[in-house]
This record gives sequence, structure tokens and C-alpha cells, in this order.
Amino acid sequence: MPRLLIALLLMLAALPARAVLQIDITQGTDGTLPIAVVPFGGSAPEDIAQIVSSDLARSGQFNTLAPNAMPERPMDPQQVNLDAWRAVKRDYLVVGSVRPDAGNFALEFYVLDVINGKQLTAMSVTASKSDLRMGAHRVADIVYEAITGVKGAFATRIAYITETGQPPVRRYSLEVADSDGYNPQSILESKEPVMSPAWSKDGRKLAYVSFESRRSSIYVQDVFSGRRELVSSFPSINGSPSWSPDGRKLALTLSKDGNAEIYVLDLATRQTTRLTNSAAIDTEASWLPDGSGIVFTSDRGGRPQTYQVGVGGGAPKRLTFDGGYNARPSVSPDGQFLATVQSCGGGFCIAVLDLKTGASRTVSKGSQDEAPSYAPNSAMLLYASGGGVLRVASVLGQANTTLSLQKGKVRDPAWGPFRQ
Amino acid sequence: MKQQNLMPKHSGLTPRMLAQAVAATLLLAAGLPALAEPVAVATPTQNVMSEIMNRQQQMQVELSELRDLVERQGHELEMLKRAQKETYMDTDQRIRALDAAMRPAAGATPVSLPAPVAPATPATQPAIVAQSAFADDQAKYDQGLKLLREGQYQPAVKMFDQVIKASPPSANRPNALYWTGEAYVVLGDLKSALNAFEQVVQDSPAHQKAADAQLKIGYIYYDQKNYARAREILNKVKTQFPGTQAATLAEQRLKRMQSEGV
Repeated sequence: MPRLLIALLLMLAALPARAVLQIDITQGTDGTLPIAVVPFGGSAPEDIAQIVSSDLARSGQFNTLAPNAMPERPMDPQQVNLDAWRAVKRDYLVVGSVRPDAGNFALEFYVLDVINGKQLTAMSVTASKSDLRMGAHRVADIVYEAITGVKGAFATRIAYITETGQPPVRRYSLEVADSDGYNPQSILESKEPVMSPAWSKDGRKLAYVSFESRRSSIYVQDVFSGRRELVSSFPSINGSPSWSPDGRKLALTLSKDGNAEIYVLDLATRQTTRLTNSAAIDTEASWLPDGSGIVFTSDRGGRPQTYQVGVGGGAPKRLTFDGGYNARPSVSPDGQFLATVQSCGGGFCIAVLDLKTGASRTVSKGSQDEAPSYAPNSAMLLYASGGGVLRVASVLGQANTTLSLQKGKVRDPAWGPFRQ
Repeated sequence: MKQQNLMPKHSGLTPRMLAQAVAATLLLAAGLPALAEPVAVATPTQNVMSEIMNRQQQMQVELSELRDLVERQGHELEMLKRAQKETYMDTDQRIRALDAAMRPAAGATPVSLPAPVAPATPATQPAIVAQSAFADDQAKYDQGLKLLREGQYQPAVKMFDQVIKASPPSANRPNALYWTGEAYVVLGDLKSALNAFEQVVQDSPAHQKAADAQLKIGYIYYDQKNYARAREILNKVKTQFPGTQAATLAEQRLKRMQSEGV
């Protein structure tokens, strides 16, 4: 693998197309990497190539080829006729096959550089039948990393809230699904609103707000065992939990002392520390990835904007100045960007601010977009869009995809961490 | 108002529900004139109270408007500072490159000569002006700069010396002293250079060249490896001449010293 990686890096250095991709993000499929994922040989209950292909397309960094436009169906590198793939303008090719392996499935695949006629990766991923889709996402991660050099985030999970039915039979459900929206599983159902799920950094727990006792409370629930714990039920508001990177604390919005402010709750001692103090509303805290501080929304300047405060408190610093409204802040896991819900054209869309240069741009069209959440590799953003569907926007490319298999209205998505 | 904007989901009240509630209250009030009557008559105390409440609300709004303004202006200042710094670094780099091209064999400490467009008295001045002490002095100073630019350091020092010793004292004295110092640096006579720079600082502390001279004194001590003294002088530049290019350069040199561990 290391030798392969070095070869890959050398090759990437010689490819000017990648630099174009990083900068030229506004030009449709121009600058995306042309790839073809050939249907895998062997038989499996899922179409592996289709899953891999959709993942890569959703990243916005690749353009894929439909199977009926493929010149041939090779299953391993020996069967590939490179000229045929050059003729359909493919730079990269993925071929592979599924093989039964002691009750499981082994996904063997190869990533080929069509232009230089080189093999970039040869790998095998083993998955059980029920885990086959996740296995395919792992394949997509490896392909993505082999070509872009950035870790893929497809084999991850997302959490969100669904709302079905009309009162008095309205139901709220906290669900966990694969990053492409498949395999949704409800981990909590309630007649009262549930909101603001937040993943712990180890991907084991979800903190969320529930109104099941008729007023807001915050629970922490183990995703695997279903065991849960009430961690905050102060008088009045208990809202917007966000995990500290070390998993020991939650930043919360509480109004126990009169006004909505940001507090940090130590989960072991249950002590709260107040971080903000303003006559305005301070809410929607989100930790900086290095744990040094918190970004939050405040209307202390008349309209909601994003501010940053250190974990030790102190004077908050305003971060957003573009657009008259910037709420629901989320810092990218690499610490470089800040996503917010920004007012645009009479509605709301998702904006991304480069924290180093101060440059800002919108990555969604609106008009009722909310709750942006970064993929753990910082390359994609998940958000809820008007009418309650989930969408994924590519941060590096231009793609914008609606996730399928959703029921009812979907809100408050949260993208989970890399799986350990 | 603000609360509903920010957190509609937390309250669980939609605008429509609110409107319905208000409408219901109005209907109720219309059906009960006897109850509505006493509320309509406000006592003087109530008037004062509601006036105070109004004022307070108004002040809250104004306060947040002002905060918004201050935050925006602070942000703009920061952006301007950043832009200015970038422009300065760019200019500085260009001058250094030019300078290096002009004197490839110069000493370790680069001399920033004034750009060729430096104000110079045209040679074809009317005779009356040329005869005045002022013009004579200016001509000598310009001649000194010209010699310096041509790399004739010794003759330049001699020419500047005439300006320095002029009586009554020339307005160009601090400038002449400064460039004498720069010339000595190039010539490698750091002691004389130090002497010239120190005269600028002592005799004309408010002159615009004082900051630059002080900086160069710091540089000389640095070159002589007298780091403690260099640090002291460079810190002085920072505190005595804040916001100047000299202060920025002093800061940079101090950082460099820190990274060099001296």
C-alpha cells in the first residue's frame, strides 16, 4: 500500500486537472474527474457498483458513467481494453467482483488510471449480507481516497428527525441511516417533538432534545444498546446540545438563570458553566474541532449572527458579516470553514465561510434550507431543505443531491463521525 | 419578537396559533364590554410605567443597533489592516528586489533608498532662489542622495556632512544624518553609522526619520550580536513609534530573534 500511495501522489502531482477542480467550482461537471464503475462480477443481493457510483457522484468531484454507455464489462484488470475507455473519455476505471466468503461476501476491486494505464489500488472488503451496502460504501471510500488523496466519508451514518401524520396522531422519530439515506432505523419514537440530535465523536451516542415530558429535556442515548440517560432538565429551555471533541462535555442552551445563554455541562459531575452573558438570545452552540472554543448564534447585534467564544468564556468575537442573518453554525472538522444558514433572496440557504480568508459563498439554492452538518472529511454538507427533505451539497464540487427513502418531513440532520 | 425569529421550534407556537389566540381574546373582550371597560382607563402611574417600558425597549433596540455597527466597523478595520499589511509587504519586497539589483555587492543590512521619484529641486531654478541658503542646502542634500544612489558612499558622506554642519542648522539635517548612517552601514563602519543614527534620535526625536534611525540602531546591535541591546532598542521602536513601518519591521525582527533563539 505505501508504495502504491507514493505512486499515486506522484501521479496526482502531474495532473493539472485536480488544481482546476479545487478552484473552479461553479462550472457544472467541468473539472470533475471522469470515472466508470463497471458492474461487479459474481452475484450479490445488492448492486455494488451502483452504490459506489452514486457515492462518488454525490461527492461532486466525479462524473460517472451509466452501465449502458460502457464499451465492455471487464471484471479484472486483465480483461480491460484501455483504449475503449479512453474513447468514452474516462480517466479512471473501477472493476471488481463479489465472491462468497464463509457466509460473507468478499468485494474484490481494482482502481485503474486509464490515461497512464496504471493500477492504483487492488483491495478486498469483506461484509456480511446485512452489511453489504456498508461494504460497498467502504469500497467507495477507498476509491475516493486513492484518487483524491482525501479520506472518503461514505461508510458513515447520519441521524435525523422525521415527523409523520397530523395531530393528534403526529409521530416524531429519531432515525439513524447510512450516509446515502438507506437502512433507516428508528431509535426513538415520540408523540412530542424530538429535535437537535448530535453525535458524540466516537459515534456511539446521540444527544438530543425531547419534549416527551411536555417540556424540553436533553437525553444522551447509546445508539447500539438503546440505553439512555436524562442529562439536562433545568427549568425553561434545554436546547441545542453539542459534544465536546473529548466526549466529556456538552455545550447547551439553557435559560435557567432567566435568559437563553450558552452553558457547558460536564457529563461526569453534572456541573454547568455559563459561557455567555447577554440580554440577547445566545443559542445553537457548536464546538470547534480542537475543543478550544464554541461557535454560537446570537442576536445581540439586532439580528442573528455567528459568534465565537473560548471555553473559558470572555468576550465573544463575531465571525459572520455577509448576509443579514447567519444562524445554526457548524465548523468543518478540519477547522477551516464555517457553514451557516444565511438569508438569501427572501429565503434561507446554506453558506460557507472560509475562516482564514473571510471569503464566503453559498452552496445551496434555498429557499428554506436549514441545519447544515459537515461530513467528517469536511468535503460534503448535509442539510434539510424546504418541505423537509435531506440534501447533500458538495463543498468542493457543484453536486447537490436529494437523499432517497425518506418518510414524512425530515429535519435536523447530523452527520456522524468516521466509523472506528 | 427576536425570540420567535430565532427559535420557532422551541416555543412550539406557530404564528397562526398566535393569531388565533389573539383573535379569540379580542372576541372575548368584545362580548364582555363591562370587563373591557376598566382596562381602557389608565391611571397616571400606569402611564409612567408603560412610558418607562417603552423607553427601555427603545434603548435595547438602539443598543443592539450600535453593537452591530461597532462589530461591523471593527471587522472592516481588521480587513483594512490586513490589506494594508499585504500592500506594505508587497512594496517592501519590490524595494528590496530593486535595491539588491542596484547594489549586488552591498553589505548584510539592506539599505532602503528613496525611490527615484524622491523630491528633487530642478536644476533650472530662477537665480534668486538658487542663491538663498535654503536652495543651496537643498541642492547639496539632493547631490548627496544622488551620490548615494550611484553607490559613491564616501563622496555622499562628505556632501551630507556639509548639510549637517550648516549654520544656521538645515532643515535637512536629520535626513542627511540618517543617510550618512546608511552609507556607513554599507561601508562597514558600524561605529560611525551608530553615531549618525543616534544623533537623529537624540536631536530630532519627533522627526519622521527618528523611528527608522532607531530601527537601524537595533539592526546594528543585532549584526554586532549584542542581542540584549538590540531587543531593548527594537522594543523601544515598537512602543515609541506605534503604527509605523519601523514598528512593524521591529516586530518582525524581534520575532526572528525569538525563532533564532537569541
